[in-house]
Amino acid sequence: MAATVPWKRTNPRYQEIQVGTPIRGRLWRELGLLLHWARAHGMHVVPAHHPGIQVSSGGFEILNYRVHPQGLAIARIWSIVLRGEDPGGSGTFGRATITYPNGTSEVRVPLIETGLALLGNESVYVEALAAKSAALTSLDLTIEHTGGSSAFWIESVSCVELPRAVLELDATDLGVDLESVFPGQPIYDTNYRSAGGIARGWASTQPRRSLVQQWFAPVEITSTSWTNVFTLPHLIVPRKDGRSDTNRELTWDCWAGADAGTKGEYRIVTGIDANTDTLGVATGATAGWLGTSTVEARCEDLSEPDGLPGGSDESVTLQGRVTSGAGAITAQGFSVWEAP
Amino acid sequence: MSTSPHEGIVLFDAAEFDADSPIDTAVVRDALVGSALHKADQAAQSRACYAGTNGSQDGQDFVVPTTAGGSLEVATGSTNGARWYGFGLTSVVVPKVRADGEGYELRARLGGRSSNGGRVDFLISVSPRMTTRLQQSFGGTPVYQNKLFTNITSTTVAWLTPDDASHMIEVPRSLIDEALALEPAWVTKTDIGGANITMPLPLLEVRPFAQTWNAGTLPELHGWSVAGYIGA
Repeated sequence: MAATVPWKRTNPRYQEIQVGTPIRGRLWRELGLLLHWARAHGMHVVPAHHPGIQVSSGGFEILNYRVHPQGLAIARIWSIVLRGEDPGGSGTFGRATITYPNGTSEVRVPLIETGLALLGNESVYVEALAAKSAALTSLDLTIEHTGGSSAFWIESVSCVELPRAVLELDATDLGVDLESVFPGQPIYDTNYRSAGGIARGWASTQPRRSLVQQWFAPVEITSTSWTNVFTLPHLIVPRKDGRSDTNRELTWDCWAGADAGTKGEYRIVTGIDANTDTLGVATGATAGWLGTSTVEARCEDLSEPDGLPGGSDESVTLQGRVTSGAGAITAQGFSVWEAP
Repeated sequence: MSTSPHEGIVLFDAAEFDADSPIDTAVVRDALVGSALHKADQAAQSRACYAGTNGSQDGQDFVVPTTAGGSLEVATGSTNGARWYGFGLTSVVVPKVRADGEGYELRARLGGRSSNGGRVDFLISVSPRMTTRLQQSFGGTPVYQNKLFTNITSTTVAWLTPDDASHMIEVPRSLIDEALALEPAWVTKTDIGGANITMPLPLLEVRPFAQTWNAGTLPELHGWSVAGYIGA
């Protein structure tokens, strides 16, 4: 039996727990349905962002995203917008081949649009996964120019995990047999059934947010002073777990390299408390992920009407600087996420 | 004691289980229901949120694109703010329906500036995905919600304050129903390698737009962020 997922939230009412009164079957059922609803909705693994990268004839771009999924997804929805350049009178439209992380490909012909631009030029693709995975991974998306003469631009990329319609009664999905919590049924402390199954499911449920996933045209830094990679800080809202929590530990990584004979470092700076954490770039390093590190940031404030900590936005800023050598360090990817 | 902004959901604190004391009913409520509702809130926000954040060391990257490349093509529209231009930035969002059957809210942020001090306007729109397609094919007025950031004249790059001073965009149930009605049934599987199954899946698109009021004045978009926000 599979555990069905309701398409809207249920609302278990804690006022139904009264002194001297048994907890009613209805409350257990609402809790079970809410468990399925919470677990079946996946993450927004790659928030929409603007890579702003031009791909010309014969060229390609591999976009990398450092993600830590919850491990329940069976498919991902990619939303990609490409914009073609005008091929001119004798030219031909550029053709793009998009290869998704699972190895499947599709061919697109990016349109040339202005005005209410690119509304119909979006590719929505469902990428089936071979296995559920909760491992930290790098999603690689390849966009290649495979025909025609005109170049195209990678305007927008985002990815959400496809919601599950049902969950399995197993140790990964932790779905619960809802018939076991009908009124009149005995209470069991057992897996995937009854009160025990619901309690185990909630204990193992940990929603997770992918806060920043940004792939961009290479940014070179030659200064020995800290230099912002972006003009604006990235706004984030980390989740709150415990009652007294005011901070949450975030994990981050940066895709970067350095010229021969030059080395440097990148750091993340939080907006409210100015907490910092630094990752180094070795001399002459080939571009790649520098390695994960952590930083403390303010988490959601549930006493505020809008949930913002102290009513203010929390944010992260990526900065870089050269520490030795006369060349440049170059960044192209920035990822911040909530570790388990 | 921490409560959610919506329904006073109490977070569970294991320290309240003292070895030598009877367990208070309120603690059982918090442990059993309060923590479940809190995690469901977290799941809702993680699912609907973070439609996007952009940033760049070079604001020109975010000027409205044209076929000429790089700058807003005011000649094709007008210079009196009569035409909105898209940036080609699109985020697909799966909306939520609350337990009371209503929709929810998105918290929208937009960062940008005017290139030379002339007036520019921005907006972030939320619309059903298929509405856009239908409007392109048949015309008509799309169903959408938006958040306006108008009369921007500052040349300093900054996160902007919306016209109504609130960053929240209401996503009403009617918008979700519209998306459900228009979206074809999605085919998925019961599990990895499992049997095919169809499910309704309303999809919304979130997009930033801009317009200018002066020839030669360019709206520069430097960042946008849309986060889900939901109560019980």
